[in-house]
Amino acid sequence: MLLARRRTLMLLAWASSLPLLLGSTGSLAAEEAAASRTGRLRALIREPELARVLGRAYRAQCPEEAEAGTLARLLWSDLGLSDVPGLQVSEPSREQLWTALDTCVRAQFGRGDSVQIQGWTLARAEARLCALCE
Amino acid sequence: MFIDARTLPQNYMIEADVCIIGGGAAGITLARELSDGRRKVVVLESGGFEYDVGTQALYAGEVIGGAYIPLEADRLRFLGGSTNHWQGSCRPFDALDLADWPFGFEALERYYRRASEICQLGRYTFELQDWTVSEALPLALPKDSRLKNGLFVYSPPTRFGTVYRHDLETAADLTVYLFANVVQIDSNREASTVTGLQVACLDGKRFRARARHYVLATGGIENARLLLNSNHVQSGGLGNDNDLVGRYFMDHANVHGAATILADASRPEMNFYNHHFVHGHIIEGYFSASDALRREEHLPPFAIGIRPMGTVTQAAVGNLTLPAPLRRLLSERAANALSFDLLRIQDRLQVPVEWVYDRMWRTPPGMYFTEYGCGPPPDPQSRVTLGDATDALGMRESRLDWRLPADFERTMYRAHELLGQELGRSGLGRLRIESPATTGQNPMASLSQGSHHMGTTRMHTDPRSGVVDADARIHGIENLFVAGSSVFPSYACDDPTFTIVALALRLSDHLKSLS
Repeated sequence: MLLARRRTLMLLAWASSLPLLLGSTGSLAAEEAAASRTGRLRALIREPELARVLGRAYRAQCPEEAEAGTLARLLWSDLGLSDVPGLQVSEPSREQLWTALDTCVRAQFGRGDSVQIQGWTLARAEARLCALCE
Repeated sequence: MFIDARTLPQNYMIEADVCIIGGGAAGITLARELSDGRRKVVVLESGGFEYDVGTQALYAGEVIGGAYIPLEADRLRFLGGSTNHWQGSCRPFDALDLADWPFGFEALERYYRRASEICQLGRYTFELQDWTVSEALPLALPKDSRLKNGLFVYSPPTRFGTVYRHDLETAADLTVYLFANVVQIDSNREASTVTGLQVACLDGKRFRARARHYVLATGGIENARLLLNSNHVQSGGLGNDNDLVGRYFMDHANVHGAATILADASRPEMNFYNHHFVHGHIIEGYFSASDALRREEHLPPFAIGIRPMGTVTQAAVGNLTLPAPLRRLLSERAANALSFDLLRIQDRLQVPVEWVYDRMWRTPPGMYFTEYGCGPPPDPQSRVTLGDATDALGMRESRLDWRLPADFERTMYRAHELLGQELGRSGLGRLRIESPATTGQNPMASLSQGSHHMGTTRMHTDPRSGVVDADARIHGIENLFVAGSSVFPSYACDDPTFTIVALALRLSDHLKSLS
């Protein structure tokens, strides 16, 4: 446990210094990674125009999450795919993304981390995924 | 033996050891138990063997405050009382339900066991595993779940006036007087002893009854009404020193369709929370709050059942002529993968968009609505008083002011939110709250009562907090007892009949001990 925390702290320290170390090239890589991540998450929704209805409602409810990058980062974190914002630690397959989403959604429901969007009781990750389609 | 009271001589005097006023579930149970040949028992029943318009009209009263079923329509006034329209739902109160009672579940359980026989439930068990069949399974809830499963076992239902008529006819030293309406309870000048009853028939006949012990068993509204009308000695009514008679009136509040559920119709869990047959009995499962959550959030006892609205079939998809036409937007499915499925449902509820998980939809999805039943906490302002009008016998009618707590809707929606989370956690389905704010629907328009009248002569060891003591004897009166749900100081989400019978058995044991 302690070892894991120490590794996380080290990663955080490393990641926070990354822009300085890499300069514009590093920012570009991070942006590309973030864009890729957003795209991969959006691809999970096959009817984005419908998800947008729920997503719009979620963004209005949580304006602090309205920006796509923020949503993707939070969602990526929800799915347990990265400890460090902006750091791409793996390239999960679509199947792995679904599995991670399923696990995440059930866990969020289990601990009461849900939101109500147009009456629907949704896991927060579900709502974020819809909001990402905006 | 049955006697039509209208055939008695005017001013006749009935004498007995125990006089029971009312021939419903409580009165009949008491009469059967007490008529063991060791004492003379009489029952004074207002009606006959069947529904009678004139007798039923004696129930008329005034409703003020919240909407309520007309008082002459939501109970029945003939032998068997309201068991004549009882649906039969039974479940014993649990320890938390009885937290405000002067005794706990342990003191009541043996009476519940006997009540189970009387209500024709067969074996006494309310354990889930004893009423589970493969086609209807309770949702497996983790130990830390905020919800718990429960079930109601249904009586056939037992029509007490029919099923036990022969017993009443043949029991030793038992006489049931029909068409005999008690209009006044007389007491001594100190109002410490009941000295007799004034009884009237609708044809004008008047007579009296005298006994060593009296039991008031006329129902949750009438018990209070009769005490309040018996005001010759105490102007506020008999047993009403502390202005408690008629207060704390309680009834179950039911709301239909507070939420819509989309779920896998093939899952056996979707059958458990609706009425179904097991071992020859109707069973109805429900969700309620865990004990820990009820304490933590001060939620009222509630039960949520799930009812099918219909199943979405492929044929229905896209057929705009159906009541709930659906257009399936995705046909592609990913085996063993979680994929979103979005449905556009232009149903009568004007829902723009709904979505569920595709993997729940190996078979056509089902649409369901919830059935919410709640037992709001007792409120002294929710009460029965006397109105200005009088009935055909000269008694002042009841005036009912039924009140719900201000947070009723909040707790109802909180209960549904918890259910939505549990359905999501288990992968069973998704739940949508119906409200003016979310879907434009107002489920509160469907608010109805259970016709379960409780609390008006509540039980408490302290006379400042209750009308009757732990033995169901009215505080300060040595020989007047009360049977029925009017003694409930609090209640659960259950029909009261099963507990009424258990309490009547308990009271009969006490009365036997006095003689």
